[in-house]
Amino acid sequence: MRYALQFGDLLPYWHVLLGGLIFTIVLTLVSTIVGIGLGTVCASIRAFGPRWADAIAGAYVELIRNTPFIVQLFFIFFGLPAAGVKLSETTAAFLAMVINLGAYSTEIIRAGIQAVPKGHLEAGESLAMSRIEILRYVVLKQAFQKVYPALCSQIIIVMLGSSVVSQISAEDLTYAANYIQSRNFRAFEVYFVAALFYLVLAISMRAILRGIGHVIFPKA
Amino acid sequence: MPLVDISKVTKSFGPTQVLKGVSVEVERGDVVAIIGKSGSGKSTLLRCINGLETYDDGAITVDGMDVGEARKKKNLRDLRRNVGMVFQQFNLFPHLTAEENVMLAPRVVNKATPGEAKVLAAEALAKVGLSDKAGNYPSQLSGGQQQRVAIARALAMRPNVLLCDEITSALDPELVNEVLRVVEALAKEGITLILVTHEMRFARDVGTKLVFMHQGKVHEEGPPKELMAKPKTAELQQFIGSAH
Amino acid sequence: MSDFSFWVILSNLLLATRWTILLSLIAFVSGGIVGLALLFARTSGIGWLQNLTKGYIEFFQGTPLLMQLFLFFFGVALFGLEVSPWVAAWLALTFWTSAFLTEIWRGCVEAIPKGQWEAGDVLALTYFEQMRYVILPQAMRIAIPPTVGFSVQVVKGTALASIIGFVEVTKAGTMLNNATFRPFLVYSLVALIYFALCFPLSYTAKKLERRLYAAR
Repeated sequence: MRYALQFGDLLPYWHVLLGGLIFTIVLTLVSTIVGIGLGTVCASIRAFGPRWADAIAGAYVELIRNTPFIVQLFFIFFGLPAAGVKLSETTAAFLAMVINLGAYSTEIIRAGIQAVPKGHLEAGESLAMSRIEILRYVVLKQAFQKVYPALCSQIIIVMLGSSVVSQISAEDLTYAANYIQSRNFRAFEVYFVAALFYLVLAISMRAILRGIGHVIFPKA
Repeated sequence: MPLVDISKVTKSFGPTQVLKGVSVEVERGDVVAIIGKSGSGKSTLLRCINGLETYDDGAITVDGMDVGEARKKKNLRDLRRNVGMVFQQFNLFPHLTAEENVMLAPRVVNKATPGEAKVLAAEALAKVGLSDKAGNYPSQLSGGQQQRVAIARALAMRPNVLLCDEITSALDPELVNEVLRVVEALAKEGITLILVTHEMRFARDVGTKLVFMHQGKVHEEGPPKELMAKPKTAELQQFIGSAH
Repeated sequence: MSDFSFWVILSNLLLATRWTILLSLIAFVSGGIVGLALLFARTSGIGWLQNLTKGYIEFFQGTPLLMQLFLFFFGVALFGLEVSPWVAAWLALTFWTSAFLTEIWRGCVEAIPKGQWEAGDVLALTYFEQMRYVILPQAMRIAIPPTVGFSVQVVKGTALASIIGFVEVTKAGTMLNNATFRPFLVYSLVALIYFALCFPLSYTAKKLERRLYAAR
């Protein structure tokens, strides 16, 4: 029975944790940019594209949102090689996160697009703007402004969900924690510190994203 | 002793002083109409009387109870049994029928039995002319009917004083009269009323005392018919002129 | 030969699905009970209690569920108690669920217009009487769609329990994959099973939400 928590045993491994943290940050950053890009395209297709395209995008969204991330990850990393597509851990992790965030952000952004008053679209059309131009200059900026908080929440949720990529041996923060505890047997201490790292990361991201929001959407 | 005694009350919201030393005495059976421009502090004053708002300085007593003390002791229950309020936005409970709305407080606060509460509710609804709507939900009633139910709900607690905060301002013009008629009937019964209102004709015909508030102070006070025929100050004259 | 494998795989997965469903239900119910208690704590007006609750919510919402599973799994053992993956998973999911449900429900309570509170105030109702007769009945109606929506997250969350050894459908899938080397098939079936569990819940939540806002 171990009453005394030995956080000191973690010190020799601090660089391992740091490496994992950096991996998690970079993974999240890149996946976010691509994932939201994907979400924007899909949301636009769902809102303005032909019915069949909407149906396909809809199926993609529902499939991702109704299955666990870990299953999606396993499918991509273990399942695809059987169909001929072999991926590294990092690539698989990245792909899974992009697909996952893409689906959630599609719905979030689509809600924002639908909230733009129809009158704005009509104004754009009567000014002889093309659909793409209307989308780009009139609709998307408003849509993003409206759903920005929801989008930021989702990004943080995906960041926290990224801890699962440790299961396919992608070397993120959780993988680092697993590695350390298998060596010094201080499981609770390691996971507690790792959890705090994630918490600090989540809080920082929230603050940074809010700051970015103030810059790109100055209060009208 | 006046039923409601407001003495030198001041109140600020942050840097803005909304009430700058207000004193009013309300006797039993009075019908006090408080008029004034928006921002003059009239609603705030009304809401201080039953403790919905705090006041910084001065004193308000209702039927011998000091409102400031009651608020400090977090014991506003007895005060509020005695002082009823009707809101501009009705604030009926949407998940309860008209009858249930009226019965709730007597049952929960005054511990009336369901039977007693039902009788009280029937009385109150009859008084506002809505006995036939007892089983209806607020969403099934017109604005005027909802407001009348709100009045019945306040009356069921048998308060000594009824506060009315612009109770017709949110109603379509054709529905205003049915509510005013109910209030007039209550006034005739001798219930003490303090109303913040924009209805000038009502204030003049039914009110026993007119209080004109301007920039956080009582600017003029007196019998409505006199004051409105011969305002003493330019501000009141301007106000009456613009109200017609 | 391959057909034989298919049915073996599917039947094993379906058997394991029982545990997914059971864990989801139990965690959701216990999470809801804790969440309700937290709701009262959060809105109580007692400073230290509210702050404690806020910290609790911040922790369970701001750290990965996987970390929480590990912490409960290894943490309970520190006290010398036997901890099975079942219990650790149930505990972690309960606290995780409670943090999210309480915030959802708090949002619903705060969505009730201030006028309803004031109407209750002037009728001399106490805080508890207002919550019981006026606020919660209204808040519950609004709370049903997002609560049903969150149940989907709980079902998906049980998949992580596989990592600490709890044998539910994801773990069964991993074991079957190791035995049959047919990951494409196995994980497709696992995904389909989750979809079959979650989609009806998602759909119901959406329908309820539409009906709620159409009525207004």
